[in-house]
Amino acid sequence: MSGTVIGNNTLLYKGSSCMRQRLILSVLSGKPIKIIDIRSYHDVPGLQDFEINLIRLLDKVTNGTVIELNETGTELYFQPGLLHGGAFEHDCSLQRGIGYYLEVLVMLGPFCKVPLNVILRGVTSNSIDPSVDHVMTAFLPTVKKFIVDDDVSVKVLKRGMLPLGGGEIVFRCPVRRHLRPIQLLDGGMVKRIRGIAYALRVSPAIANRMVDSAKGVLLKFIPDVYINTDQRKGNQSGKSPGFGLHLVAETTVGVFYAAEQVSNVASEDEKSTPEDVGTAAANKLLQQIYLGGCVDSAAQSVAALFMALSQKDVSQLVVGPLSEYTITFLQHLREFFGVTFKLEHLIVDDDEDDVGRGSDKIQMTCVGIQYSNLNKRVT
Amino acid sequence: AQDAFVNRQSRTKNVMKLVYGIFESKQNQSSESNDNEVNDEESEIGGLFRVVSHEQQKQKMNKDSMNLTESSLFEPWNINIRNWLDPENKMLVENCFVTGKWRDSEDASELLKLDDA
Repeated sequence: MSGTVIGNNTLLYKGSSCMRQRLILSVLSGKPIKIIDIRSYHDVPGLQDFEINLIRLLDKVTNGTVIELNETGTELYFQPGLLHGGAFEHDCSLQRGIGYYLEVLVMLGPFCKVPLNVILRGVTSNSIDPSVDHVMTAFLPTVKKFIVDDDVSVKVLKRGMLPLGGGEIVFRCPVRRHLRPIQLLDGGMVKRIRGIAYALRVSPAIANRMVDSAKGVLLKFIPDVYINTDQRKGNQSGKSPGFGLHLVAETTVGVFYAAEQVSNVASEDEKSTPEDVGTAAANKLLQQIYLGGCVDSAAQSVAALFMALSQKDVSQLVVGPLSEYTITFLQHLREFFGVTFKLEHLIVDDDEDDVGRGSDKIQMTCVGIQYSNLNKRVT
Repeated sequence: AQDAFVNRQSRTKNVMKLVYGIFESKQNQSSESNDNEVNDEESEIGGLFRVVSHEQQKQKMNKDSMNLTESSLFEPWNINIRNWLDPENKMLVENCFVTGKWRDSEDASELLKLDDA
């Protein structure tokens, strides 16, 4: 898992897991990485389309990046250039959702030279990656805690489902010289639930059926539930049929938890009914609420990154149980930046008071390394 | 599996160890490797079989996790979604909502009582 340092500050890794984390941190820290043994023993060895696509995206964001691949694609050398940013368009691989690529841009955005203004095309929601809506509703509030600005935004122009995609989104992010440290110790209580139901290239009635079944679950917990239906016409609804439900819960202190469920791909798996999708989405949201914390569980790693790179001051954040992804991300943060977080269970004084408040929480504390964005022009 | 994972995390007293344990074991390894040389002869059982060394086992474990698909979602794919309407599960989250019981320090009626006192 952990990398070894070879000459020239280069970090050496094996295998394709966590490649995205490693590339992001490589770009930010300026340390080159070398990854070997990428799927060496698989039937299809080497990097897959979506990973090559990711590297292309990084190449577009940066200036002067050196990428070397061997013939079979099982070895990759990546020497990052300067983070430039700016306006560009990118066609994402359909193997992964746009969220997979968007997350990278969210993490890199504040450190670019020119504010990002990117159009991404591909699949807007699938079951592996956080959907575009998820990034919009759960990641951006987290980012806004570090950069006080309303300029950061995601806009869905077209939706696209698997297998053919056809979705299109715009992402904007301002640049910052420094990030500010945060102190978030209380997640608050859920006060309202909102949602968007979308039915693309299928009967519009499906959206309402999803809303009804999701409400059936959620209204047992809180009365303030309002779910919009997003009806799209023509090419705005992408190239493939499908439907899904995105839900987001807001707490009293402005923390957002999001969850999403999409229908199975029509041609491949068993067909899913709108009722099943609706209930599943509701249950997933309740799972997120159970995990709790001051950031959405999928946005933990973004928060950890920004905490580590913030000004030289103490940042504190309470989160739910760490996800596998966050655990490896913390390990990588230590390897690339030498930042170690202090992690401890949050102890509540009164036991009786703590019944029914979800999972045990973890308090993350760290001192930022005062990463300053040298690319940003001082005006 | 998800439950097991969450439970394991809440049970491990030391979260630091869960996350950064690898690094400590790495540091220990350098000192251990010296010990291994000494123990090499002992690990040969009956002159025929060799005990699989710690190192090899670790490499095997790494191999399993080398080429995983990465996703930042807590539970990607649609694996075992809990039914939260189950009374047992419902109890776990009830007080996460404003409709649930508030902490004494935040509860309006409790605070009013304090005013009177």
